[in-house]
This record gives sequence, structure tokens and C-alpha cells, in this order.
Amino acid sequence: MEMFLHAAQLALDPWAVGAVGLGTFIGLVFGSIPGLTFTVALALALPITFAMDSIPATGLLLGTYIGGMTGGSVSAILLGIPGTPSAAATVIDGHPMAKRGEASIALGAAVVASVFGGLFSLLVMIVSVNLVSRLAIGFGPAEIFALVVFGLSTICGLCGGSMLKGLLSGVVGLMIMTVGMDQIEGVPRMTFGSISLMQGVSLLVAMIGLFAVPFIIEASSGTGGAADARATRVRAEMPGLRLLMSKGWLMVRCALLGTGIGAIPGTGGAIASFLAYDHARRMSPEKASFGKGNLDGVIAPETANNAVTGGTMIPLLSLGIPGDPATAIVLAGLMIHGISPGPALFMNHATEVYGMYAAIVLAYFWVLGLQLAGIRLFVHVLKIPRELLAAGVLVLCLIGAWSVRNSVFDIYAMGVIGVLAYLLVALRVPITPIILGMVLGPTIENEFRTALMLSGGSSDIFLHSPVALLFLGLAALVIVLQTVGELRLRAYKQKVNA
Amino acid sequence: MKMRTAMGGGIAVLAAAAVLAAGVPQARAEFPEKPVEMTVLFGGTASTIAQVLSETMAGELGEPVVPVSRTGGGGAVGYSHVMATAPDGYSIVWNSNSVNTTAHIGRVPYSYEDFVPIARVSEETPALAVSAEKGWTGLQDMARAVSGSDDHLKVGISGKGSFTHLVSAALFDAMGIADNVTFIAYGDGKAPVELLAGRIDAAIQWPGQFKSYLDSGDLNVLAVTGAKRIDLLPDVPTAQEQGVDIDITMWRGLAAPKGTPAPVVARLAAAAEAATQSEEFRKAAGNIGFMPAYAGPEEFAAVIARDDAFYAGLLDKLGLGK
Amino acid sequence: MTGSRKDLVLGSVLFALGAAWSWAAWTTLSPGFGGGDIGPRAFPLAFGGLLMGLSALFLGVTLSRDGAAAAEAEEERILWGPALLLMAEIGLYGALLERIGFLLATPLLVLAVLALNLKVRRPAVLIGMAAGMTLGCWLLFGQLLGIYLARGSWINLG
Repeated sequence: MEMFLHAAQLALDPWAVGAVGLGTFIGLVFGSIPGLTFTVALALALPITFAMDSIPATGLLLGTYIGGMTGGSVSAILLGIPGTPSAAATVIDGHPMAKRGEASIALGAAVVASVFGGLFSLLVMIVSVNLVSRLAIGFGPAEIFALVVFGLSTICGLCGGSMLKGLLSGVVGLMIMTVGMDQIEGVPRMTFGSISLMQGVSLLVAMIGLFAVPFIIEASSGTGGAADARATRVRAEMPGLRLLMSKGWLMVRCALLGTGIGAIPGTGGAIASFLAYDHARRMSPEKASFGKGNLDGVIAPETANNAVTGGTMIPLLSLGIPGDPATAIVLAGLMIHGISPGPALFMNHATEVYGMYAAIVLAYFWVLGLQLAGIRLFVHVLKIPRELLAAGVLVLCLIGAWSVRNSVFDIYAMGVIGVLAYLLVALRVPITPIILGMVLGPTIENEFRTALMLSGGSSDIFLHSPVALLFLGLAALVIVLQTVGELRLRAYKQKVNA
Repeated sequence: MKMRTAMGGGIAVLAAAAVLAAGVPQARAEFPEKPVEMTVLFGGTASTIAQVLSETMAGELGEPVVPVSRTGGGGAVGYSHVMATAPDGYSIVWNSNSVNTTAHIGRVPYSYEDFVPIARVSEETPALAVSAEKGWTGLQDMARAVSGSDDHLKVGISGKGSFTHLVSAALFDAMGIADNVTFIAYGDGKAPVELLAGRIDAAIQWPGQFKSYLDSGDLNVLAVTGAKRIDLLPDVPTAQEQGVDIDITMWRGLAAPKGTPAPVVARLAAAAEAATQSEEFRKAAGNIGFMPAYAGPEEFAAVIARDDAFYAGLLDKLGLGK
Repeated sequence: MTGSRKDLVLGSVLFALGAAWSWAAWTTLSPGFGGGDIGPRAFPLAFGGLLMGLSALFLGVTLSRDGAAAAEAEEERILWGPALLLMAEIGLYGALLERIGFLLATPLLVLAVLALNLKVRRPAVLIGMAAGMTLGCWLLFGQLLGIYLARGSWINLG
């Protein structure tokens, strides 16, 4: 307790509070601008922390991470372009809400859900870090593979009209990610001798292309998403407290889900938010309204992806294992200040750990304050004439695509993928499954291959693991339910037509 | 006679002047007069060290040194980019022995000879860790246990042809247990957990990853693979101390495209040397777990050439050479 | 073209893509060594096969309900012109970026996109947007936040 008070005192020092606030602000800016992501923001923030003391330094990095994760929902809702892969699921219902003129309600609910998810996961982390990290160790390649297959099965629920079209689009996503260096064998695949293709297609670049380029092409016809949203009057009405309270139980479930997924290294925010979205849709009495602007479809993924921030801190701090590229930069920031995460962290650096807890709480207060004030400004983005908005978004996205790896190849990739995505949209093929396939493809392949290497080629490694069997069973259940539902619907339609 | 010598001398001076004027117009005394771009090939530790280095070097040069990350293809993307830039010292690469390994695995249109070495800056020494439950305290315990059984030792590596793979293969070969080893490739950074869970038996990784686990007693670190012990793990003996003849470390340093003028290289090398001696750089080295290891252009060139021959042989032996 | 006609084209193109992909994977990648090593070829090949299978199924379903579905097909025009134009503009931007630098390539792109794709004709808007977006981004991202923006090898400003 005494240690905790000492840490709290250090964390509440004006410098530290300012550092967390600065980090949160940078994160929010990068997260909310389409094209720029918080991974880039963290890479920029890292050198600033070199000269700082350890607590303000870690506070700055954690603030950037948290702000970035929260900010991703802003452009997802307003423009239909996710600010980060973790916000891709938020687009599905958040953007239709904005088109109806309810942007501020969706944004407000997203902020509250994010803060709730983040603080909830922090609490879980504080009380059960040792227990959860011991459970996370049990997740080997076979178990992670099964979990990811379960995540992939949610494609079935993202298809809108035709399940087959959704599956086709998911497979295209899986294929794109096999281009480049094979991580296990170290050989180039499907690169046709090109050095540029050896770097593979970046998930972030593809995401920018998939969502932003169709937006710009449609703007030239005058019937784009932005035009629709502009048609209604922009209001800055906040969601009521009673409305949010009624979603409390949903938020708790999604926060638990996000924390759990985050605790397993090698997964991350995107899979958590898609699973949460699917969960909300499945449990909802109004399934049909999903995809058309159901508030639950915003709250669920936003709660889950911020709960991941607390979840990933568990393996990061107690095992020294970063779950994704963003936490890897946080890890580098801790190391350079002499804090080496792992089982001995809580013995050697208890003060810093408590300081980090305090910094996370503080970051969420900053998020709440900055975002609630910001929403009133953000919604005015919809008042910008569509052609100017489209040109502006294009420039931001090009800067974003470039800044991922400082490579011209990424600019070409964004253009090509974007135009193909536009064609798919025009043919009514859903593009969200492409993102899901791209997020999960490399994990699915690498974990499967590693598992088989461990077992010497025997499938027992999957069949003898209760955890793997559970997730594979859930995935099978989702696919069967969805197929049966689809066939029934078609039979019903034919009856009506006949 | 006198006349001819004078004339010869005059021609030589003229020729030298012409070469200076035409060939190396950038090599003015005031290099650098604009920011220097430092291409970084990898994320993780490589990128963190590059950021610390560039800040201290910028102080020395009086112009910013901008680390620009160009990752992918095992370094091929960044090396190819730098190779194609003008050899004027304003575009340099933060390189490592990946220039030797990728060239010998093949598929890249460059080798170390396409670059002018500026300076070696740091050295990292891999460490071999096993779960504490195994009860092994040295390399001999491990060799005895493995050669006495039919079971294969499962050794975690970052990927086939990766540096951890090469070091592991060389170490187990030197220990005489190469035939009893199966390599398992998994994602970066997961080694300690895979060891704790007992899914793999041993792993070679950077010592920073193992430090906390060694403190908590969950893992044993049996050896480091360099000729000298390292500061981060002072109690861990080297492989050579245990009778296994192996000395592999990973160097990182700076290089410029071939044709960069010598005075510019010297200016950059001086800045790198001053940076490696700075308080800030040494502190970062201690915390992250690498050793500052400055070597000037000539010595660095010798190191690279020696390593190139070594990795060519090793990759051939592993069947990974081109 | 009706909706289901478009679906037939989509299905055929995806099937052809799957076939070409599988052929490329089969011929350029090496198989595994067995004993738990499935090699770098297995997954790309499986994905190619999956795409062929699913698109064949999709073609079959589309053909079988051709008549019934034609009635409900809503028309959505594909804007081929603007789409290909934008791809060309982005390609040109990529080609110029490392030659003339961010500060010159970006206003050219903004002018082209505004004038050709978005049909903006007012000179004040064109020039204002081109200069404003470029300078604004350069100041905010390049100078204030320290993002590395491309430098030109032919000419460079800033």
C-alpha cells in the first residue's frame, strides 16, 4: 500500500500528468485521422521518452497507446474509414448511424464504452495478473490456431446479403497476406523475383486502401457516404446516461472477452473487436438491424478493443511478451529505462508497475475529457463539402500509407488494392472479411505449422488439447448455424416469390 | 630531366585536381550541410539502438541524423534502397551481419562489397536458455542428457535461416549433438514462454529476453556464444569456458553506398565513435543488453569480410546456401 | 448488365484468379520435408484451391437462381473511369514522390484529383486546397510531429 501511494504520488506529479496527457493527445490525433495509426505514433513518441524519467516516459507511451486505440473509432464512425484495424468492426454499424445523423451519439457511446473497457481490463489485470499470465502460458501454437479459426468463423456474420460472397472476400484476404517472406522458412513467396514484393502487403496499407479509396471514388459521382451523411443535419447530441446504463451488461461481457483475448500473445485488438461484434449481434433480439446502425454494434467492438489494452499488459509485464507491433514499442520504451518486464518485474520494479497502473487510469480520464470535448468539433467534419473532404482524406491516407514503412511500394499497393476494393463494393461483395482474413491469415498459418513441427506431424496436438477442441467446436457451431440460417432464409424467400 | 619531373608532377597535380573536382564534388570540408538519412532495416532492438545512436550522432555532426525505417524482406528492401542512392554520405544504412547472411542465402542483388563500411557500433551476444526444471546448469549437462537418450531436443528458433537458427546450429554442431536436435520456428519474442510451458527444450535468443526469468529462477541460461561474458548476465559463462569452441556475436554498424568519399566516411566514423562513448549511449546499452563496440572503417571492413567467409561456410553446411 | 450477370463475371474472374494463383504456388514454391514440416507451399496452395472451390459454388448458385433473382437486382453503375483515373494518379504520385519530394508531388496530386475526378473548377479552391493541404500536412506531420516525409532525389524543397 505504501508503495502504491508512493507510486501514485510520482504518477500525479504535474510532469507525469502532462506526459500522459500529451501521449493521449498524440494517440487520439493519430488514431482519429484516417490513414495514420497509433503504431506510427508510438514509434515517434519513443525517442522523446529517452531523456525523461521512467514514470513520465512510460506514461507518455501508455497514453499514446490508449489514445490511439480509442481514437480509431472517430473516422470509422464519421467517414466509414477505420483509424486502426481494431476499429474495422466499428464501421459496420457506426457509419450507418452517422449517415442517419446520429454521429455524435455513436461517438459518445464509443468513448464511454472504450473507457469502461479499458478501466475494466485494468482492474482484471491488477487483481489477477499472475493467474491470467499462468493461463496464457498454456496457450501454445495449437490453442492459438484454434482460437484464430474461431475468430475467422465470424466472417459468416459479416457478410450482409450473401454468405458465399463474404467467404470469397475472406479468402482473398488470406491470400494477400501470404505474399512476401515466409516467416518460418525465410523464403519469398509469390513475389515473382521482386524485392519490393518481398516486404509483403502491409495490413495497415491494405486497410487504408480498402476503405478510403472507394470513399474517394464514390465522392466523384456525388452519391458517396459523405454525401449521404451531409444530407441530414449535423447534431451534437450525446447519448443519455440511461441509454448507456442499459448497455452495461453487454459492456461487461465484451470487456471480459477483450481482456481474455488481449492476454493471449499473438492475437490482439482486431480479433477481439470482431468476436465482440459477432457476439453482440448473435445475442441481440434485433439481429436484422445490425449493419444498419445498431448502437450495440458500436459499443461491443469499442469496449472489447480497449479492454485489449489492459489484457495485453498482462503478458507484456509479467512475461515480457509483446502481443502486437504497438506493444513491442512500449516494451522497447520500458527496456531502455532499465525496466525489464518478466516474472521478476514485480519484485524489482514494483513502484514503476504501480506507476503504470496510475498512468493508465489517468490516460482514460484524459481520453474521456479530450474526446467528449472533441466530439462537438469532430462532427463538423461532415459539414465540409464532399469534394474537399475526399481530396483531404486522400492526402492523409497517402501520408499514412507512406509512413508505415517509408516505402513507395506501399503507395502503389494502396492504389491497386483500393480500386479493386471499389469494384468489390460496387459488386456488393463485403470488404470487411478481407480485413479479417488479412489480420488472421499469418497467425493461422504460422501457428498451424509450428504446432505440426512440435508434434512431428501428428494431428494429436489439436485433438488432445481441450482448449483447442473447444474453440474448433465453437467455430464449427458458428458455421453450421449460419449455413442453416442462410438456407432457411433462401427457402422462405423462394416460397414468398412463388 | 628536371623539366620532365616538374612536368610529371604538374600533370599529377592537375589530374588530382580534376579527380577532386569531377569525381567527388560533395566531399567538401563542411560535410554535413544537410540532414543525414539513416535507413533502419529491422524493428525491435535494432530500431531502438538506431534511435539512440542517431540522437547522439546528430549532436556531433551538427545536423540531424534521421532514422528512417525501411523494413521487410530480411533487410533486402532497405539495403537495395541505400545501394541505389547517391554515394555522398547523406544516405547511410544501419546494417548488421544480415548483409552477409541474406547474400549467401541468395535471392538478393547485392553483397557486402556494394557498401563502404563506416564503423562498427555495437555487438550483441546471444544466450542459450533452458527451463530450470531440466536441472541442467552447463552445456555438458545438456550434451550428456541429450546424447544419452533417443529423444530429439526441441530447439526454438525465430525462423529458418535467421540469426538464431545459425547460432544454434553452430553451437550444437560444436557440442557434437547436431543430430539430436529438431528446430522449431515460432514468432519472435516468445522463447521464454515456450520454454516455461515445456513446449520447447532450449532456445537461443537475445539475453534481454531472459534476464527477468533468470532473476526469478524460472529459466537457466547455460552459456553465451561470444568470446567474452556480457555485462547484463555477468554470471553466465561463455561456451568457450565450457570447452565448446564457438565465438559468434552479432555486430551492428553503419555503411554507405560504394563510392562514398573517404573524408566523408571518416567524418561519419568520428561521429559514431564519439556517440558510442557518450554517457547516454552506454546507459542504453546496459539497459537493453548490447555492448558498445566501436571499430573504425578499416577494422570494420576486416570484420565484415571475415564474417562473410564464415557464414558462407556455415550456410553451406546447413544446406541453406545458394 | 443485371446483378446476376455481374455475379457471373465476378465468379469467373475469381475462379481464374484462384487457378492462376494455385498454378504459381505449385510451380514456384517448395513442398515440405514431411515429419511435421508442411513447407511454405501448403497454405498458399490451399487458399488458391479454396478460392476456386468457393467461386465455382458461387457460379453454380448464381446460375441456378438466375431467373428469380434478376427481378430484384438493383442497378449500381460501376464508375470505371474515375476508378482507373484515381489508380493512375496514385501511381504517378508514387513514381514522383521520391524524385521531386513530398512538397512538390502532393500539390500536383491534389490539383489532379480535384480537377479531374471531383470536377472542381474554381481556381481559388484548387490553389487553396493544393497549397493548404500540402503546407498544412508538412507543418503538422513533418515539422511538429516529426514524421519522415519523402525527399526528392531530383529536386528537393524544405
